Amino acid sequence: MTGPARLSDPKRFAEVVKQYTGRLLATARRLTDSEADAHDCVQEAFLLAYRSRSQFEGRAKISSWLHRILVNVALERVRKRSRRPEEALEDLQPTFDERGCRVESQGPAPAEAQVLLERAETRTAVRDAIAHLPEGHREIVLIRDIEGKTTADAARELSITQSAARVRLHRARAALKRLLEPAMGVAGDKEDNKR
Amino acid sequence: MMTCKDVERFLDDYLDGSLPFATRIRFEIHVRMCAECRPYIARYRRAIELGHKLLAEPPEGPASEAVPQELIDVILKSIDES
Repeated sequence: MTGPARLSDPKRFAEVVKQYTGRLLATARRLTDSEADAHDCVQEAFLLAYRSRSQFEGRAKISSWLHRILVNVALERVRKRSRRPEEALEDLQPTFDERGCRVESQGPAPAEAQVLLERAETRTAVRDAIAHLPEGHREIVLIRDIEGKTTADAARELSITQSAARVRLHRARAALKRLLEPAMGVAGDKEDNKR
Repeated sequence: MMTCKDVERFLDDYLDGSLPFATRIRFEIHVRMCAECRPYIARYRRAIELGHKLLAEPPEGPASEAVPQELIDVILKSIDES
């Protein structure tokens, strides 16, 4: 049975709920601060998916489609709760002197991502940093760096040129790098510095 | 001679592996010699990895997490009522 057909009527959608709740809950637990929040996010994601199921064209897997909805629900919840404004990306870009040399000094090479993510503070910092990117920048990070699609795919989805997509992605990544500096502040894999 | 600013401009193409050969060599020579660009790139790359590892869809396989039946019931009920 095709993906769109599985979503088409309530009985089949119930099967989808039973099949994917565990996977979505595992992700929601990584992205929320409590079990109750995780449950709320999964419930909201399925409800949104059900209401917008006619938009699912079957190009992506059902699991990927549901995952994207869940991540957006979780990030939206972070934004609403924090009441913090979106980041001003201009202030988070690298600076250079008149010779084109970097102005700000860099810290030591960070530990491996997996090691850093063992700390709840790091997971919160990463989630919050992405949540507070301006919408267009957050979208391109989700498409390129989280879903692993190409810049051409991102440009198509966002209805912008590939050139604009490249600029937007770079500004978002540079801002995330700056926002995550405190979380990466520990000395780690020195090999990165030798590459 | 490439500058740090040039490295910044070419960085994403470098990470994608899409820099033309000659540009990539110039890029790598600068990075090898530049004490600021090396840690900058390590941290830039790590920020991307952190986002990916935290938010990407988990690999296929049976869910290892316990799924509370009451959560499934609440979801199905909310769909019924929508």
